[in-house]
Amino acid sequence: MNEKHTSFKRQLTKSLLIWAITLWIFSTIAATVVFTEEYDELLDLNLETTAQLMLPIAQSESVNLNPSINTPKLFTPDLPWLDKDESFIFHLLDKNGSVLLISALYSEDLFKGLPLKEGLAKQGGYRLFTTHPNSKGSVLQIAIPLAERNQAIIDNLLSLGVSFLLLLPFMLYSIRYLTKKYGGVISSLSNAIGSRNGADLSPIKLDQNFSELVPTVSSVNALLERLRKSLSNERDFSTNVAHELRTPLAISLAQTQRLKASSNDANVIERSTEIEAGLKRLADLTEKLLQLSRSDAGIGLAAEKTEISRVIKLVVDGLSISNKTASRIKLIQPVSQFLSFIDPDALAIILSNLIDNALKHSVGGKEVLIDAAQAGVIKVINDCEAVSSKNLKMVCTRFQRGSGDVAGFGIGLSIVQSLCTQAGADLKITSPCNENGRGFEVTIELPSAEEHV
Amino acid sequence: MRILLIEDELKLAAAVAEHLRAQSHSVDCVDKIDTAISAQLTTDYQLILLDLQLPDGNGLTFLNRLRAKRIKTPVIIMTAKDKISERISGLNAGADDYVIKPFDLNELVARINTVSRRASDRIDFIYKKDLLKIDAIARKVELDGNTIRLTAKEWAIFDRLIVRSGAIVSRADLETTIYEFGQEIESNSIEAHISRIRNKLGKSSIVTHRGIGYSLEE
Repeated sequence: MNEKHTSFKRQLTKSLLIWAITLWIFSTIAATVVFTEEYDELLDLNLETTAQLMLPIAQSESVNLNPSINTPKLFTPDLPWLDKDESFIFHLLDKNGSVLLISALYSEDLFKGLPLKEGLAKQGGYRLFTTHPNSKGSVLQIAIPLAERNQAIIDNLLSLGVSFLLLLPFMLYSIRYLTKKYGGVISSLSNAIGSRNGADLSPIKLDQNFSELVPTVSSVNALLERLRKSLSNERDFSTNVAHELRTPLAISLAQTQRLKASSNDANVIERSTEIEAGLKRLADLTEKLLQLSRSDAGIGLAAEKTEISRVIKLVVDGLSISNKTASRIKLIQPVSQFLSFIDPDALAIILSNLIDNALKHSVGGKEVLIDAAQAGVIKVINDCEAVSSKNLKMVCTRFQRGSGDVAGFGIGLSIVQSLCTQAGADLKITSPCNENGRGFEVTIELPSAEEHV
Repeated sequence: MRILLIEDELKLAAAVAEHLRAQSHSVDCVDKIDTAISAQLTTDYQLILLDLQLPDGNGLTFLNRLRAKRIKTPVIIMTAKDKISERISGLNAGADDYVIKPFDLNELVARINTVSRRASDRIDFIYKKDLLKIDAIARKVELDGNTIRLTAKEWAIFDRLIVRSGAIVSRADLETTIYEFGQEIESNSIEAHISRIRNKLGKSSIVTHRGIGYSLEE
């Protein structure tokens, strides 16, 4: 699986942020356009009103002025309603278009070419207005620089930008907080589903029951329950079958051994020895098939921590009494406690198979070393001819027997591999494993309970 | 050794008891917890073989009851339950060992010997006195280098005396060791067995403590 995964929360945060910034830019542009139009309209109205009010005053000031004799008179009206900061420039024209009065800062070029028709105009960086001729046919033309209103628009844009920059961290924090809060439900659902395994098939509970997630959670819980029942039945079956199979085998073996022990007839002894060997082989096969069944039922992982040193000791002690080759087993015990979530029965099955395998394949009855000194690492080493790399790859294949002259069913190492995978343990098989180019070594590295948490 | 075998599979129990009797042990077989409790109350067993799945409950109930009363009789669990977790539960409940069915009868005997040796305070089970040498594990008796054959009951008496070496073993104790339930205890049978042992191993091999019991010569 090489699919690239992205974080839902990160993606949501990024998308929300991009959309918020884009929306802000568009809304700022729209607001600026509307503001500009409204502001222009307002200032134009102000310009018109000023011109209309100023016309009769200028008319009275221009009485007795003859444009053919007099030069235009400078007129500085002292009007209380006129804003001193506003730099109006105007002139008063008579009905013939001759200039009667001019304002301060007047420039002839400013009104050059401007028609005497009532209305607004824009030229030379100024906004201009021409009044309707009064009863004497005079017209007032007034101008105000556009730079002021442009500055107002820029100020407005700047205030919007600055306020946005001030609000940006808060917006970012809010988006992240809300994403974390509500996206956290997705994360907790994901974690809850992800943490379910063979050892934990308990129903999933959500802190917040969002209606969108309820069907998913219900379906997952139904599947978990079905899986739990199925695995439980499978495990119960192997436990019950173990009892039902072992008891008649125990009776048959015990009766056969008694028959053999109590008879003086060589023929009876020989035949009962054969039956005994067959029963022991059947018992071994039953044992392996039960282990296989448990492995297939997924017993590898436990819900509780297992202290592995006790399991190792119990398995080796069990073999030390029962196995005729027990004197060949050398155990280097763990020096410290090690806790893992491996199921104790799974670990016992793994160890008994590895030790059994090592005893069977160890050449000339040589020692089998079980080295558990390093915390969480168990090595089972035996001396034998080196296994070819081709055969080494196949030793864990089910029903693949390692060597033709050694008794076995070829399922021990496949059970070990399956249980190690379930428990998250690393399984490493090495051959040769010593400087003489001989030997077979199986190393199991168990995950620590702390790492798992 | 007097052994209580608690096993509901009668054919298995019969074969195990027969094998143990052939090893000079006395075996009482019961198939229920209730009967086992009664048997244990009336007899001082040296070892108990306990099945777990019994008709009237789990064998661990019996074991827990035993240990709660501070009875230290060694117990070997003999069961088809092979899980290590069940083995741990059994050992935690106070079992001394755990044998999984099907088992080799000789393996069971080896475990009985190991557990009983562990239960007694003796470290070595070889008794030597003058020309007499007894290997309790190998069940071998030699007098001046010659192997002496003892009957099952003679060996059972000797085994008890070796286990309690240094102490005086009462006649009742020896009767308990060699007679099972239902067997008629013959009067003076212990004296008769001891007399035969003395004939084989020498008069001083077993010391009589009049009115108290018997012990091995120190």
